[in-house]
Amino acid sequence: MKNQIKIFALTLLLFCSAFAQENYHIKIGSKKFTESVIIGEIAKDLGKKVNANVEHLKELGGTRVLWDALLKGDIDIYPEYTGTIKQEIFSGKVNSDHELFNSLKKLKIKMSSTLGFNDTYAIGMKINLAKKLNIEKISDLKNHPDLKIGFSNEFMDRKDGWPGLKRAYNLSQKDVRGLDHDLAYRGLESGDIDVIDLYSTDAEIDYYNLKVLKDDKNFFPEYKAVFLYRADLAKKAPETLQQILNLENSITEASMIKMNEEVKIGGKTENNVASEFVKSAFGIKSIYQPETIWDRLIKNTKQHLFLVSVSLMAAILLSIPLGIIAFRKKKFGNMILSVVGIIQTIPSLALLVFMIPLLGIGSWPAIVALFLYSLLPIVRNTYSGLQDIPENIRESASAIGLPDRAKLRLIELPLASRSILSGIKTSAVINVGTATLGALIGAGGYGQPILTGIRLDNVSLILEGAIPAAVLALLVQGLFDLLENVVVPKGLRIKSN
Amino acid sequence: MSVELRNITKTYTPIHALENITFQFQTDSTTVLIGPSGCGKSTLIRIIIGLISPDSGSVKVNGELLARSNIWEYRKLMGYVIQDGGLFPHLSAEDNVKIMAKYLGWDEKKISDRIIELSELTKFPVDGLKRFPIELSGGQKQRVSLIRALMLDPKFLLLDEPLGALDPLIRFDLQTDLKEIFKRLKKTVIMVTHDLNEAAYLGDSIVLMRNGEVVQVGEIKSFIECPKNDFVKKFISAQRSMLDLK
Repeated sequence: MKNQIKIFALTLLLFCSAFAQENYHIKIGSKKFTESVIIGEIAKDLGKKVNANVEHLKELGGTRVLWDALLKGDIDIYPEYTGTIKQEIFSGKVNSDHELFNSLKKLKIKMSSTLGFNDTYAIGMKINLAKKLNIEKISDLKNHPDLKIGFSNEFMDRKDGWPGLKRAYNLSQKDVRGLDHDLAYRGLESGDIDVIDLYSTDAEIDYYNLKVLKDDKNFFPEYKAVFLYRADLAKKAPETLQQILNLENSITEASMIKMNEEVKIGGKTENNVASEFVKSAFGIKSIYQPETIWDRLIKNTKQHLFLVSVSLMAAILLSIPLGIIAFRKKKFGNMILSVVGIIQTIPSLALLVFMIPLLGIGSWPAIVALFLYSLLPIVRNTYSGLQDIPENIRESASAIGLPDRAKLRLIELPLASRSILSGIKTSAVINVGTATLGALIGAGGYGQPILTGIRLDNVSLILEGAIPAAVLALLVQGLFDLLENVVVPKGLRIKSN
Repeated sequence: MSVELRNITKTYTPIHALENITFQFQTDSTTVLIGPSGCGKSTLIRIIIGLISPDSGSVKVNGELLARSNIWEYRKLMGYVIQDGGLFPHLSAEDNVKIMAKYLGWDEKKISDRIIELSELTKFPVDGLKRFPIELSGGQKQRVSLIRALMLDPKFLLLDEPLGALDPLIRFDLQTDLKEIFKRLKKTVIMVTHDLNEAAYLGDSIVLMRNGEVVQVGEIKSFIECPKNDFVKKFISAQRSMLDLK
């Protein structure tokens, strides 16, 4: 019998390995802009040829998020730009490519050769305005301190971004705002902003009739597209890595601009554009399987419910005892209430990003953040529900001889049940909304289509996330209203005549 | 079963709620604590059942000192009724009266027999027990509260202004019924009231208090015949009679 099992297991192993030569679960990351997502999709398509376990974690966030995730091993590989690695990741402390390779090696990270194109930062404005003000190059901006500038948030902080640019060109504009790069084009179009930062491969440059200002002091370094990957990937999945690295020197600047355009302006999906590229460049037959709106809805709903339910359950399990302790021990209770209150004041985006160094990216950091946000309403409502029980009722319970624990279970908690339940309801509804931010750190959910929709200026995609989120919030509210009839004792629900 | 207070003092700064009270309650009879508002009568009864502890002094029950360790055993020997009944609003009247019996693991039969017995005694209809406190009148609440207090057949019955919030007709009926219940049960009853007529009607012995001290103790007759001081005189005479109407 034992032998039979062994043989069966062995056969199964052989069977599986025959179909996918490698089965190490490799995770490709991408930043939250279209080009990065397209390259991620292409890498996925190439990897899939030899490894069924290739996953693409789309639009995870900015450089810091991706880099930290790579170091932590939450992702194995992601597309990056040489200028960003030198200026942003290593803060301008490495100069030559040789130094760069060595610095990466110490961190057990490898860098591929260039993928074939340079996507440098650039500064742009509407052609008409540039003509009117006679602006040709970046140094011309010095004569127009009143121009309204809108830079992407990352550009605002980077050494190779606004701070460096301002110093290099001695610029004095005061009205400089940080905003989402994809929204910047719309700001430009509506006239709210005059000058923005660009990526030189952006499809919008032609589409919106923009003038790219000449970098006459050669401030911006080269931003050659490369892959950064974990050194151990060469051992864990050499075949898959080899396939992905086939992309070296195979994307020209023109083809990258074209692909960006097809997605951002043509309305194709990254998946679709990537599979067309893979087909024409490598002759790999189209793996493109269009995802229907229902597929996405089901996937997003599952992810969203997972985030909300796990975090809420954990919060309930901790918060009710904390509320009880807060009620019983006044001094300690004040401390508990202050701490959960302070947690609530941390902006949700910041809290999510704080979680990355601790827990990496994906569902768990999002769940922990949601869990922390759910504490206050439940703790406070448990506390106040108990606190609001009239003194004579509590005394009666003691006087008839119920010890503290029995008093809590038989009298106090049932009397506080309505308040506790409404605290849980508040947490749940807030949770459903906040969970949409989880998409920023790779947790998926209804935030994913919202994020993509903002990036692609696609309202129907935004609604694909926003409407189900709103519906879910209403359902949760309704569910708790029904639950009240079960949880809250009848004596508290009837009205006197 | 005896209750003995020795040198009980309790201060709610800056008021002396109770000042050095030493008193022995008479066994198997009804003692009524009476006095003007703030005289300390309610504080005293709450000290006896251990809801608040005195700053100094001791409570002895059957010669045993009342302490944290024996308070739960001790409370099973005591029934307690307060002004508005203190019923648990989330439980039906029935669940209110049997909560302790259930907690102590009595079997259903014993519980229901006891409930029937007590609803006869308190003249509360058994089918009314299905109702929730919010559906009961003030008088009914007090009867249910009395059943709950008597459920474990306590040795003592403590009542803190049990009829204070009832309208006169209902109060009259309940006074009559309480007198009969006390007579039948022969328990040690300690009751707080501010109504001298009620005290005279129900109490075997009356304790008149003022500013946290005991002023005079005895039967109502002794208060009328030999009041200890002017305050007692005044307290006794501060009652309206129908005859005052001219």
